[in-house]
Amino acid sequence: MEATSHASAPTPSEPRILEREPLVLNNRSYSWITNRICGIVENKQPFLWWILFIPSVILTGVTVFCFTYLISTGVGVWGQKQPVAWAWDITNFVFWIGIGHAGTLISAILFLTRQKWRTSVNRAAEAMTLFAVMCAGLFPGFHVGRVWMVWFLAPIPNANAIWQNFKSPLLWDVFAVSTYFTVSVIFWFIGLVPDLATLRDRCKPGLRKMLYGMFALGWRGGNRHWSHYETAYMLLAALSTPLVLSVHSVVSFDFATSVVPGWHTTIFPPYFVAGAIFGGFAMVLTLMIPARKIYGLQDLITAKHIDNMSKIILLTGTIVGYAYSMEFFMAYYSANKYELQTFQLRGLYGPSVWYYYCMFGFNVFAPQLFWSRWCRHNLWVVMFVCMCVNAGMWFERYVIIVTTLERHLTPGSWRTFSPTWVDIWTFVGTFGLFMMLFLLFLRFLPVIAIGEVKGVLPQSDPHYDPDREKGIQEEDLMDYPDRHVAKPGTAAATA
Amino acid sequence: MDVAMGNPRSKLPWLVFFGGATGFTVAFLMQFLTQVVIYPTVVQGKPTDIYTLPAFFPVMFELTILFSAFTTLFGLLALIGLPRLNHPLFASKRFPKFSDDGFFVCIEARDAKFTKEGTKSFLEGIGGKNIELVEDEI
Repeated sequence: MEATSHASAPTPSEPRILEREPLVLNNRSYSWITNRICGIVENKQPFLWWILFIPSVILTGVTVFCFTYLISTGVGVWGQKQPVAWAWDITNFVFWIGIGHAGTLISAILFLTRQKWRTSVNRAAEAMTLFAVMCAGLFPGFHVGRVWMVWFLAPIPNANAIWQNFKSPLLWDVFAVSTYFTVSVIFWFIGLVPDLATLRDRCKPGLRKMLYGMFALGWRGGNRHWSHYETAYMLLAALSTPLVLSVHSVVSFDFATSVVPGWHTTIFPPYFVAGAIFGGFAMVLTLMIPARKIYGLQDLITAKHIDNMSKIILLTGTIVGYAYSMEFFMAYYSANKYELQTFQLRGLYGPSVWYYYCMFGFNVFAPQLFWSRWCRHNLWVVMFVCMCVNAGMWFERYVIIVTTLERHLTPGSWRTFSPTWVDIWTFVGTFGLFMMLFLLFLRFLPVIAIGEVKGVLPQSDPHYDPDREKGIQEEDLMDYPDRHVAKPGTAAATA
Repeated sequence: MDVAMGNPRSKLPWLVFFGGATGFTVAFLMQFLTQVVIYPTVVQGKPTDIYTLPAFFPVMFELTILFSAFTTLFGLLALIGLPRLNHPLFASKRFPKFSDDGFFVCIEARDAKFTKEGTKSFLEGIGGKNIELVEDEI
């Protein structure tokens, strides 16, 4: 339909330029973007913010209480008993750390692949990464039992003169997750600096201006600044890309390097990484769809953004479905009866078989709705699928960890796991912590990368021609004095 | 802009390369010395000599990235001379517009061709508006 309205204008000899869907709708100007995004921070928060914030704080308190109870009593307050030594805590750890991956994928991999649509969502997604990794880090920290001895994980000389076992994937995990968190903070902060300068410049003198000014580091936006800055940003993106792929691979090594049937598989690293990106994008959408509505950001986070992310969910969800099926096939094809039985108990007649069906249904079948364009553009459907995926990814980790351990090699020690109230409330409370941190982020920092969004506007293109609505054009059609191709519509062209 | 200003390519990648190499070496030494030299740890049926190396790769990779990222951050700050709490430009009333939808050209007094009058008339000559003289020590 759009093509017909433009078809009349150009002469047949002229190359037809396909219209690109704009990344920012309604031809918004630079200052509109600045005002809209800074306005979120500068104005009073809507009532809904408080409605979400207060329960989040209370839930955070629940987690704090549960961990205090755990420290004062012992890890026995959680439901794990032999042979299920890893249960909800490690499930939650893998769940949260996986959620973080979408943020780094958006900020690093989509940056390197020049996906300009990332600019509207990368800031919030990176913030989400940090908060998810914080929630994740709590669980293994307390899982060790004596949380005050956690410093033994660091290679520091100690009184026992024993060093850490660097051959253990658990120690690799310590390095992978802490590196991931640190690098994500650096990446996020460097991205924030120009926007903090914007906030600083808009503030009245006072404490806020001082704080924003301090964190903006005295940014002046000069060309030398930008030139080094862009190099640094590119370098960090290039460093984060292998990092994000490595983190969940290392997490999967915790399982894959063991000799437990059901864990000892080579498909784990790519399967975990795809699953992490899958679950992370679902969480990004879960947060951003309400946020864009509440703060009126529909022109910046458009249907195209949601459409793109839905497609990624469809792709990674299908990869995950392939991994589930291939795992089952390999168990059969390996002719290893222990491996085969593990999978039969997992998916066909074990005690926790409904977890497997939830996992498969939520993660593989639900995203198939996204084949339809209508579903990708209906926000209720998108939210529904994202909620399915959020739940499904938790079930996936539960299936991998708990249902495997429940039916370990020795039938005499089989035991079905059931969580205690501390298990449940510690996990529920981390959602409060996550939401609280995210709401505070919305309150104090620019939720969209202001400087980067301006860069993808058509008027930022040096070849932008404000006379024509088309925006970016082919260079040959421009009105250069030393070129002979006349601009359409001018005297030379009509003559 | 970089070509017009005659800026060379940023040296940051070189710094980061050496930062990463440092991280790689530190990780190797940390693991090799503690696992093989100081206190040979015989676990997981793995040898305690140079052939343990494959088990050290993940941490070597992570520390390479970690050190590179820190070098990127601090290298960037060093190259652009930040952080600084104040700058003469901050005194300019029109300066804050740069971070919204404006831009400005700043010619510093330490520029060899700078003269108070000459620079002003030059900027006016090329169509500059709102030319302002900001006086302060850097």
